Amino acid sequence: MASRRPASYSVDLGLIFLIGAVVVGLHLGRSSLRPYDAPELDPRPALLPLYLLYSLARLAVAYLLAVGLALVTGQLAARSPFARRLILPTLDVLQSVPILGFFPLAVGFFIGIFHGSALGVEMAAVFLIFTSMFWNLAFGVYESLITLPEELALAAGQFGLRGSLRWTRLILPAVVPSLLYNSLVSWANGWYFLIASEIIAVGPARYTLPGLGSYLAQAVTVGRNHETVLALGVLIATTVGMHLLLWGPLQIWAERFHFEESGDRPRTPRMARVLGRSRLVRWLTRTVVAPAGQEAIAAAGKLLGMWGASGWWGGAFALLLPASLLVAVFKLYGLFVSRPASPELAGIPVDLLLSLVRVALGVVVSAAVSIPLAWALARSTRVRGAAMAVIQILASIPATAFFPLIVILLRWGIGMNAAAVLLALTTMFWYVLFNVAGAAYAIPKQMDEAALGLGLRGRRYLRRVFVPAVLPSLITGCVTAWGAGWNAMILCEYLEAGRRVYQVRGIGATLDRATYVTGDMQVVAASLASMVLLIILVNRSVWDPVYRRVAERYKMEA
Amino acid sequence: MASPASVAAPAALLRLEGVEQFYGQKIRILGPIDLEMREAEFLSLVGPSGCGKSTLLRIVAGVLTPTVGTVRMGGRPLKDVNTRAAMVFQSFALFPWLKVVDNVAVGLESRGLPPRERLKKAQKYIDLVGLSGYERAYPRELSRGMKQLVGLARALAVEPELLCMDEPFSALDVLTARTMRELVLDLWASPVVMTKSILLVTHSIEEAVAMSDRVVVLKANPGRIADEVDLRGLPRPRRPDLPQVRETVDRMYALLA
Amino acid sequence: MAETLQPLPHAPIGMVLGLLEHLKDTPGGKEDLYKLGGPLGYELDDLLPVTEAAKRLGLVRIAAGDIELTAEGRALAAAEEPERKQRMGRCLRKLSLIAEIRRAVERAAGGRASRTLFLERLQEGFSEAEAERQLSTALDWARYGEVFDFDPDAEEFFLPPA
Repeated sequence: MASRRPASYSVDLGLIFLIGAVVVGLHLGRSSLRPYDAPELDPRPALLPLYLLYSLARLAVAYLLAVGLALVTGQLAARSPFARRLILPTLDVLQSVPILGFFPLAVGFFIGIFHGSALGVEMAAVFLIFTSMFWNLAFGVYESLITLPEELALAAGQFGLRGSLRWTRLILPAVVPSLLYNSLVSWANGWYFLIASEIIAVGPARYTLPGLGSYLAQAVTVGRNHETVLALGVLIATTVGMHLLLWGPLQIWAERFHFEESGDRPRTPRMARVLGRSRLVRWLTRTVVAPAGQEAIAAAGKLLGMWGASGWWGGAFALLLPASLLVAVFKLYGLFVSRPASPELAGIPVDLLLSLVRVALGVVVSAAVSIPLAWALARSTRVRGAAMAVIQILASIPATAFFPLIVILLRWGIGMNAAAVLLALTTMFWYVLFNVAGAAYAIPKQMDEAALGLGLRGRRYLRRVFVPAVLPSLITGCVTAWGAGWNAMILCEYLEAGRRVYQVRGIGATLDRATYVTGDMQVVAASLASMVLLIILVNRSVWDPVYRRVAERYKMEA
Repeated sequence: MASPASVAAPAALLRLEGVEQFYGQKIRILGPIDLEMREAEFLSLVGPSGCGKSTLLRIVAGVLTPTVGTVRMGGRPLKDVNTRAAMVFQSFALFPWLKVVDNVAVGLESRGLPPRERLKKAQKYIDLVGLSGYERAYPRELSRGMKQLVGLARALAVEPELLCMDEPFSALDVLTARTMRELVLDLWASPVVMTKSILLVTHSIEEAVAMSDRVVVLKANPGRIADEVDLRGLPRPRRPDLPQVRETVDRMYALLA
Repeated sequence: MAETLQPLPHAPIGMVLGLLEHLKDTPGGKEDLYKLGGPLGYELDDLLPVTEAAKRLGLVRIAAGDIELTAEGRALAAAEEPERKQRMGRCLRKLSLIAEIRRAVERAAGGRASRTLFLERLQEGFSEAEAERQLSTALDWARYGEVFDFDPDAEEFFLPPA
């Protein structure tokens, strides 16, 4: 072809990204040669920006992987009924699994593959972060594709949009809003698990990846207070900065991808509306984010179009998910047949019960605090937009960052039981508040006025109007908090701080001890399996029916 | 305005042979249908809701494969999307994230036209439907009537031999619908527009009588052809208050009842 | 820029054109206003913004319950496409809001004027929602007459290419 191709930013961006990836890879590879006998990080604050960069790189790699795979799986599930029957149940089970518990297994696997080099640890960390980001993205893609207006999909077919053109013109734009909404959740999750994943211990072996998370964890463990505060400051500044400079402009840009008619899209980006008033954010949106977003869609569409052309390995991927589950079950089985049972196994039911009480308490407290708080927020029309934006930003600060505060409380002498619940609450509470506040804002004005006309005020209003109106969202928030609570148990029933171990009896503590101290894989497997079974059982027998009944009874007719 | 269909002995453009559509394994919702459409004909399908007229149109456009039977376009059986046809949708089905000009050019893009020609051709049809000035608007900024004009321009821009329209005016207000009906008839008669055969699905008998050369009446459960009426003898333009037009409309209501 | 802007009635320009066509085909080019709704399938209330818009554009006269095309209205209804837009463009420029945006764009350095500016100005007299609607209607009309265009990415008005 004689004609000159037009210049494309996507090629430039791709090149820059590639070069960056090679540089980072080389650097990490070099550091990987260092033996891990001295896992201490250099605590000089001047190195913090570098550590932050490492952590961001891990998050970014995991995120890109998660988005790519979410697009592929989501689209596959939406397109093929066969793939759907395999993918959806698998995703559903996997997302209710406490990821942290599986981490030691994953680390063992990756370190085995890479013969103990740091690259293996690095991969394990990225894998952990990936699993915390992936599920909601995949469900989001799937849901927005099956709710695509029928005639629009027909039109795309009739006008011959296939392959990459179908991706760039139809599928990618249609999933952008839900992808973005879920990205906020995914990044918050990612930060949360990043901090847990940069210090990895399997049995007696201990690996430390250089990063913000390991820096923070080390500062807490050793008890260096001003370093802790500094690292926390960097962490909070980064999450807030990303909201202002990345997510805000992206949400403003994504407004064009919403369908007008359907009011049932992911929650309206309130923060975007508040941020949209800022000249800086608008300028960023126009000059950087919008063009980059278009380029990203074009580039991703080309890539995915190539993938779509060879459809067979989409099917292979769909089979891979359930197949790997089967392998895991088989491995577990082998673990128990080959060795005599460990005496600690007998204590697992009681451990489980104790943790269940803590998680349940966390859910109840979250709900009890969220309802009046959301009510107060919804009543004052002046602050609601700003308040919601603040909540959104606060919620994105990883709960692991509150860790040090709890340690301080512990030193003051509050019991470990209370501390564990408090720590779990720092994650669980936001999910509930966020959902309830969103629903509270959505209560139709006419309904409020009607209630006023009927003389419903104060407590009676709360009971007759407010609670029924927010109930479906309350349940959704509680289900999410319930899942997050189990992850929190693994983190907070067993703490190392200031060279001391604080622990309380529970399944999380048992799991942690088996992982970090004794290295007894039987106990690890058994406590994990029992936890997963309990979670799935409760989801199926309690949450699912409750949610269905509430959604039916209290649905707001449009 | 002379009907282009009055040119002598036109060949069959479209032929449906024993077309049937099933819902699931057993329930037949449409057919068997045998239907022929001539080159340069304006054919309307009317019938009550549930008679499968939209399904039939989708089969013709190639976005739905019939359970049984063959669709022939210009003699050759249709296997995939009918690239010689283009469709206008009741809900407009515009891409909300594309500006008007990009929406119109979407079909040209998939046919591999280079960007400059794409733009030129899109602009031609935007001008023809009277949308110039709105090229850089997003669909959400347009009134419903304007949106359907975009839908029409998008379909005409690929210069299809057959234009399929699925209740194109039923989501519009009466004033706008009236203007659009006249526009479609003007374009049909205009030498600048390549498309000369139109297949219109409508539930309005008045609309079918006002516009078409021939009307096929469908009945429901399962959808079958009940009757057909040749309107080539009815002079154009057909204003609704003309006695001849009114009489035809009455006759067709009697057929449906 | 001190005088208050007269609010525009919210009627899609396509419906205004439809009304003109209808009147053109009505014998005598004149119709009882109260009769207008019936044959078109409208409640009179839904039709009022349309007749009001046509009146404000100087295309119809409404007197003693009758609605009738003006000379300009008749010429516009009879005109073919490029000419129709030009005629409408001239009528549109007589409306204060549209004229003012056009002037601002013509005077602006880069040929572009921010939408926020007009939104804020309109909010002096209207609620935020109504101010938004006023600008949407003005834009819908102005685009038809090619008086000005709008770049939704930059949120700026600009002159359409000649």
